[in-house]
Amino acid sequence: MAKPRPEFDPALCACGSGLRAARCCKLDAAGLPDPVNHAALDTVIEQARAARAANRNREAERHILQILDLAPHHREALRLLFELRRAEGRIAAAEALIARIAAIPPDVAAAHVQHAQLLINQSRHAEAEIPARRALNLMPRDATIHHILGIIFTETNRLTAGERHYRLALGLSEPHDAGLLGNLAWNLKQQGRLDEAAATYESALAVRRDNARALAGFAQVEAARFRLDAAETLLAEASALAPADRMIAVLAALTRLHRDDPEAAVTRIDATAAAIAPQSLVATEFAAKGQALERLGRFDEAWAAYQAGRAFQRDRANRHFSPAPIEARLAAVTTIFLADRLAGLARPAAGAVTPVFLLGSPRAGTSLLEQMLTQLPGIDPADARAPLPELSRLLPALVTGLGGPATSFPEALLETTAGDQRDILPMLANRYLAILRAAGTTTPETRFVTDRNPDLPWLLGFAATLFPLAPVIHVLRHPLDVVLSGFAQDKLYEGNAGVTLAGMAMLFDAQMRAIAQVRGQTTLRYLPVRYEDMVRDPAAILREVLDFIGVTADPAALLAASPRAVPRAPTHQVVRLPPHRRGLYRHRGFGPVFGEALPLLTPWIDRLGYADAREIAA
Amino acid sequence: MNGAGVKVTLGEVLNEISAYERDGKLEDAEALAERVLRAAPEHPHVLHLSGIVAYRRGKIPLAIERMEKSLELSPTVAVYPRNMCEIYRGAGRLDDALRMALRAVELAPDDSRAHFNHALIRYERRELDDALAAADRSIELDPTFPEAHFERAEVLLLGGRLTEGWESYEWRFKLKQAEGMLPKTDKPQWDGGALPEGKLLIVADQGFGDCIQFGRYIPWAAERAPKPVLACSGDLVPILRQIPGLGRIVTRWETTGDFDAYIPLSGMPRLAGTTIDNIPATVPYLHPDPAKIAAWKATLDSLTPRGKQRIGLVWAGRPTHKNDRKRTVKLEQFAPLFARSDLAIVTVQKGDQIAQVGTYFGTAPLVNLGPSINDFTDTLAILQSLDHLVTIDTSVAHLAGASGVATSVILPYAPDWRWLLDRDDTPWYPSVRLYRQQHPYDWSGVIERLVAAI
Repeated sequence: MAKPRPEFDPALCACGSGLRAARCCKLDAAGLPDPVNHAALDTVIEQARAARAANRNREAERHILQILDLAPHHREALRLLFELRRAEGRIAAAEALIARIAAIPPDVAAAHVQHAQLLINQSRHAEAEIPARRALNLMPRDATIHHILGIIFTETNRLTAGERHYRLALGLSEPHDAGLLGNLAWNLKQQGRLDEAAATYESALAVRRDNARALAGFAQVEAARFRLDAAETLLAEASALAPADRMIAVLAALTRLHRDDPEAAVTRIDATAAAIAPQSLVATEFAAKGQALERLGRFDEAWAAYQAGRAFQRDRANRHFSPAPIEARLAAVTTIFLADRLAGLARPAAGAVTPVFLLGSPRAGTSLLEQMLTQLPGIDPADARAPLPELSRLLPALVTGLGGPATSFPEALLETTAGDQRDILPMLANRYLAILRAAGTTTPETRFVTDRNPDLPWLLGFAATLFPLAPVIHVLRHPLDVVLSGFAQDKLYEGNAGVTLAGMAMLFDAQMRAIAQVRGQTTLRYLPVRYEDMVRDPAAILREVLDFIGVTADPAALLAASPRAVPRAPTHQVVRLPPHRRGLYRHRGFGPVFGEALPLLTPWIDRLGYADAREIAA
Repeated sequence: MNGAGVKVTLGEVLNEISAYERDGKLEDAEALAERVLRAAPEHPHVLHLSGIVAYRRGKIPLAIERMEKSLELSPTVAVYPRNMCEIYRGAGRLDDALRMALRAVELAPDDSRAHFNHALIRYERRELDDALAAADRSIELDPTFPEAHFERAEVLLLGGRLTEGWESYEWRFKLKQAEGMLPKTDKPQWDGGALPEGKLLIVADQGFGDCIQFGRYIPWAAERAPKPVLACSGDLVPILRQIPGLGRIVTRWETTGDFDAYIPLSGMPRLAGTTIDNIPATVPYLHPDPAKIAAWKATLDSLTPRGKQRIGLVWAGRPTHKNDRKRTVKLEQFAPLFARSDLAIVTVQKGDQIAQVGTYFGTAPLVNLGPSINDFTDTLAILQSLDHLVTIDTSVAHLAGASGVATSVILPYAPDWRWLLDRDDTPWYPSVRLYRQQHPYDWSGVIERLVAAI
């Protein structure tokens, strides 16, 4: 019988490298030539190098493709092709190539570093962790790799780990790099360590003053330290250095808005629009402009700006609303959090510090409540940094690690009723407090820590399982105001909710249903408060909440005092203002724009008792 | 349904629907009824039967619509108004129900079940003389009709005629649903005479509330037959063992041991010659475990705000209870209670209805304690840390009453017999106050009066 005739497959690889698929992503490693024989191609590789050095890229490419067709694992040829593709902006090809280089034995740290950097440049920080870790294994004392890991951990909200790597990088590099110092300063700012962040920015700027991004970062730190004059001076300096930097321009506009000068904010954004015409403003710029216009009472124009910002995200950034992730989170809550199924869970004992969970839909007003509560010494803010989400991810791993079945959150909770897994919930409760302690969020003087993690509506049952007697303060607000405030910004939520009003309404409805499920099926120490009451009579609400958590204090005096220095400043401190009534029934300025949200919101408006609310902002 | 090609008569199909309905296969019954109804939309019996199925499926307006139509089409079929009476009664349309009951009796004056249904609706309307006459007529026509005897008992007991009522009440063990409540034995029912130690078997035969209510007779029995053995369900053991005088408690018939006579707990009032004036009410006769009281008090101190009266709340009963529709309310109906900022609500509700707490946003803080309650000993202990309990007519009312907790019970217009009529107290439980509907199925004003008294 005749053997099948081998066929040449000319199809090019889908990744865009320019190589045939059989020599690229569909490569059969078993058929590779011995690298010893790569020497036969030395002449060609020299020609490729020379062409690349002389910027004769097409010629270089031709040589490289020839080499790789014959020797698909020719490291130097792959490297040259990677550089070419990266320079051309063919990122998928570059990524495929660097991954192939990194996989060729022996392991070379530089390849993993380049792989990680490529992913970081695409904001794929979580994926970058794998090559970065491999690089570190090979070169544990390399400053660049520690710097990269610092970026990765900071951007994936593991701030303490990020800081550790930045500091290791600093210890391994001399003289200090201004970019590294600036990144460390940003990390410290994100941790709420404002004074340290300011000092680090000063160090960075001492190395190199013409660093517009560092100046802008420093300005945000100064604003959070209530030094608005200094912030504006820094922003002006940054603007002078980088007049076309739109992020700096937006920051400057927002600072004007914060200083109650919406006219100047509009002017600033309009200047950007004029400078970049016919190019469009981006979502952040539209949102800032909308807020300034709304402050000026120009509601129709404000609405148009908000809509334009969200349209930009949908049409230009391809961010479309998908209900599936929201539905999945709601389904997870409603199927697991049932009284009968939860009855056997272990109840962790109370720790030295009690969390106070500030529950609410996005933009309901939990930051205002945190600001008020943390005026009292002994109540410190964890803001959105408390570790419930990471503990929810750790739970299934612990179940499995202790010999239990493979499972996921929240089903894994049910596996903690048997065997050694019964120890897990107390372990996690301890870890929650230990993480906050290690991050400096709590101190030996802390009695309560406020937790307003944005995932709390989904994780309420988990929170109440870890801390059965912890107070849960639910901040309620008129649903139309919540949804409007969520829409009138550039932030996105699960399933890109936020790009449409209907998406925000669905998120609100689903989170309220998730909360209702847990409230109906578990015993909570629960107190609802209303945003509207908070801004109308902050002292009364503060008194009510303090009474509820069992603290005696003079709320009026607390609110009248200067902002207390807390161990770790919350992120919302940068926009901190005394309680004001601007947001009260905010939706009423906008007329009949809520049609697409009403079917889901009307039942909640009724349930929450807002159907008859006729009071308007004074 | 039968296979294709096989001819069946309409009567056979209707029998099949009836069989499904009788066996509780309501989805099958409904599906078949709908198919037949499409083929014979004007057939009175098809309409009637599909209406009954719809009623059992909870589709009450649809049931009424179909059954009314069947009645229009065949106004002289006696079983139609007889069944219609029950549907209207279930829907709270008592005038229509009475009209149907009278029509059924008119069409079939010798139908014992028509008179029985007539008695039921008269009870609901609190027309006790007429109810008694209808029950008596039903019994006259069918002297072995247990439901009619039991209805007679309930009418008499509700009217305070306890001595006569207890006699008819003995028929309860002949009811279909009473099967298995008593031991299979040739030993006699106890006559109240002296027995040696451990030779009397007391059977906790009724629901949880009844057992608590009648548990007060155990010491009386123990005086005559020392250390009686008590047979009860497992969840009753920790409650009833607190009552002095008991010997062993068993939860399986096989472990009762040798006994000379038995007595159901619910038979003791008759045996003791109980009248309104001599109800033994040495309350409290239930005493929670002090350690449990302390633990729950600590929990409640953590969960509820300081400086507010703690009001316990139960708003829903067991859905399978025959009168649950009459007694169960929605959480939101307690709005006047929730508007009080000086109160903290502690719900001790169990079961599916706890989900209603999820959308509670009243002024008074509310603690959903139900999910943390394991058994009735927990509930009993929790009640001691409350200032007041507000409840529908359910077992928790008995726990509170038997342990001397200040309690308000809201009652339907025609309540269960034990709450009697026209009084706001109860001789069974001195700490309990009663708040009654002024009109059938109408809770308006009831909660308001109760809240004003807290």
